[in-house]
Amino acid sequence: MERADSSGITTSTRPDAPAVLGRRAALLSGAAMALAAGAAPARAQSKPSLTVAVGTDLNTQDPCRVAGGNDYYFFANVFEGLYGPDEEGKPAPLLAESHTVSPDGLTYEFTLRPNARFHNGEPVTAEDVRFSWQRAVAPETRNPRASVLVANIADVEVLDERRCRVRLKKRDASFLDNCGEYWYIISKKHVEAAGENPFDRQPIGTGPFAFVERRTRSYIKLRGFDQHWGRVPAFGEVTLKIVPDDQSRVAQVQTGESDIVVNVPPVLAAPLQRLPNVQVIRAPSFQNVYIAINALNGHPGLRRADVRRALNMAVDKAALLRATMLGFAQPLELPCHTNIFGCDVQVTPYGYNPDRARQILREAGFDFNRPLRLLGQGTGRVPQARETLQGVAAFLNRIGVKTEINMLDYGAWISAYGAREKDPSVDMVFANFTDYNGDPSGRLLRQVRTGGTYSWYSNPEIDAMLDRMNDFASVEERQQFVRGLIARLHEEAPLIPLWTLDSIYGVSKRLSWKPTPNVSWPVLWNVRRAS
Amino acid sequence: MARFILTRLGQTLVTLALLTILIFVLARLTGDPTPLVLPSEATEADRAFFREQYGLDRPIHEQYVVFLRNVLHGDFGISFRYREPAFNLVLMAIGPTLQLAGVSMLVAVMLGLPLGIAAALRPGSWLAAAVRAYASFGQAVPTFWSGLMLIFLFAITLPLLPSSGYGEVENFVLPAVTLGFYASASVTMLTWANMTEALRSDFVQMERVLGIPRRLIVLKHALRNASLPIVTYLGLQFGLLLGGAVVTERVFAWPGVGQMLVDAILNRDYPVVQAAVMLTAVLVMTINLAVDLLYAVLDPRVSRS
Repeated sequence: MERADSSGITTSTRPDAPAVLGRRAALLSGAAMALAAGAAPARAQSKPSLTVAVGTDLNTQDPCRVAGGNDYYFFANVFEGLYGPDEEGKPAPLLAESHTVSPDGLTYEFTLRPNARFHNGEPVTAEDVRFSWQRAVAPETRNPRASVLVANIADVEVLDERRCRVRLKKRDASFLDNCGEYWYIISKKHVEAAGENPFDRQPIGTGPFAFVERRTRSYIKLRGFDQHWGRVPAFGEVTLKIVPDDQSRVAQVQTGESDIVVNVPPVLAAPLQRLPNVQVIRAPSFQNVYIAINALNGHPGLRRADVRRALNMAVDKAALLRATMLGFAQPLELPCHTNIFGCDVQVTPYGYNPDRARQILREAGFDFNRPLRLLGQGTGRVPQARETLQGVAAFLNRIGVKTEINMLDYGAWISAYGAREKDPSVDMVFANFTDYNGDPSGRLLRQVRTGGTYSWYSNPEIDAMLDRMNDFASVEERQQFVRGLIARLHEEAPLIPLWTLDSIYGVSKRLSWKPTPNVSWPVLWNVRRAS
Repeated sequence: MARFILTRLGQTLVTLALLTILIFVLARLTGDPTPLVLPSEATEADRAFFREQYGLDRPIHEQYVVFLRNVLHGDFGISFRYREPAFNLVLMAIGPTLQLAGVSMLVAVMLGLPLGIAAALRPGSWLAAAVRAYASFGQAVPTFWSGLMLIFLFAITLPLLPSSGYGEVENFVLPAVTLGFYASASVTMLTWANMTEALRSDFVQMERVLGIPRRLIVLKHALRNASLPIVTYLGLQFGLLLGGAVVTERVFAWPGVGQMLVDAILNRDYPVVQAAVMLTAVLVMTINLAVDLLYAVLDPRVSRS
């Protein structure tokens, strides 16, 4: 009997399954095919299907209500912006064919691709671009992420069917980078016709996959969009299966029930590599793991930059990465990974030097009697969080710094980490931060600017630099400036950077796939059958 | 009998009323849901609007009155996470849970009853020793381990069954065996102990003397007398599975209510927590009531006392 949920390329059979089941399944699949044949073009029928096991269900299907990184496995495949990540993870024109920028960096003129279409077959027009902005900023939409990009747009002017002019309120060098995740283009006709919550039943986008159906907490079904302007998938039906448990999710690719599993934890990735039918594919993500130091109102010693640098020297990050992450991560020296814009700056690494660290603390008059209170999250959202924090504490103990660890569930942790008034009884927070693209501004503004949601640090000089960061028309000038800023942050050491997580996928050997680097979710249009 | 049912119903309603207060307060003790629902990019105005929209900015007693009024109209509010009516979400999840609980109970009875009876009929034999070992093993092994072992054996090593998922008949086998095996251990021990007791009783001895066929004595008369504690246990276990099969549901990606409840608690999705607890509570109470009624049928002395 064939596995109904498996791809066409999966041929594993269960010879001893009762014949009656086999007949029933055949009848059902026959009926399903008859139904699908009426709805979809015949070409899609000949394509194989693909099953991907993901860990969480969606929060929303509405591109104006994205609540966080967990939803992108859906949006990155079903919706598109004018710009978005290419196969190397760099911003590239998607729905736009080309663009020009005015010398002052305030006006962008976009020309749309002539063959860009929505999933309902309608062409993408400049009017849709304008509508997408209007809906994203309309107060009644309640877009929780409007502040990042769309709120800075003063006007979108329709020049003709395929051309539009976007005027910004103030210069924003991260504009094109953010287009991919913060400004999805939606169909005006569809939204106006569908009434309230237009994306709940039929989320129509322009991406390489079109939505078919969803069963909350079980699966989402998509279909390869054959009329896509360029990224036509090799697969017809795509099932995103929701399997929350790590072990069970990994089992999905071992048994051949799924062709790809996402978020394989490092401890399960190592044994998976040894299997004959599975390949483990890694790609760098944007998810940084670090310790935020409370330089505001915690242990008084932490307000000194030399002390914070010394704490960085006290932790043997390379050893910790090997021991807890089994090497499945990239070491991190700066607040951002070197593949982020402007973060490729050369600095002298802190290095692992516990003797020097202890000496600096002594010279600084550090109060060794007051323990440092470390806050961690213990619900498995970050792999090996508990072990990592215990390792950091052990390294701090080695230079004579006492520590107390407090592990919280995710909700309590994020409430404390992102609280408006930071808790003075917390000295360090074990944290992770996912950013959505290669621009550093979003993360830095939230992590180190005074008053930033996750900032436990305040420095007017850094604030002034952060506020200037996006106000450049020249890319080269901005790059120089950001490099300077990152180097200053390295001296200031508001964090103990640990590593950037890899996106780890378990993939059937029958497939060939290069996951888009720098994103933490699977972008599936370039999955192919292995030749 | 009617009085018996009415008293039980009255008690059920009082319990439910108390439960609304308890669950309402407990849900709110987990903390503010705003940082979990909204992304870090959200502005202070977005956060304030969210609290206002769901009435979270009002004093807690006012929130409770609104909640109670809505519940009486069958409205449990909109899930913060899914933005769908919480009651609908829970209804969607309760189906898979009831199915799984039912099939698991069937597995438990089908394994536990014959084993318990067999052991009681042959005290001191190798069979009794084997049954004792089975029952000890069944009670000692946690479901997350047995679940993963079953996946390893019957989905990975021998690719006979799907490793997880919901929807097909095959999907039931592994989770139902996981839960049923665990419950069958207790059913076995209870059956064994009570059957032994029943077989020793005077009426069984009498029946033997009268020459009534052994099969009839065991299955009809002794088993009926031994069944009361087993029915109690099954009722309790069924209630437990409705909200408590969290681990098994997670391991087998079963979209049931237990896992939904735990996720909702971790996400501070108050409306779903409230709806899930209330609905499972109603079901558990219904089952308890049914068990009580079944007692009355099995043992007429119960309704008279």
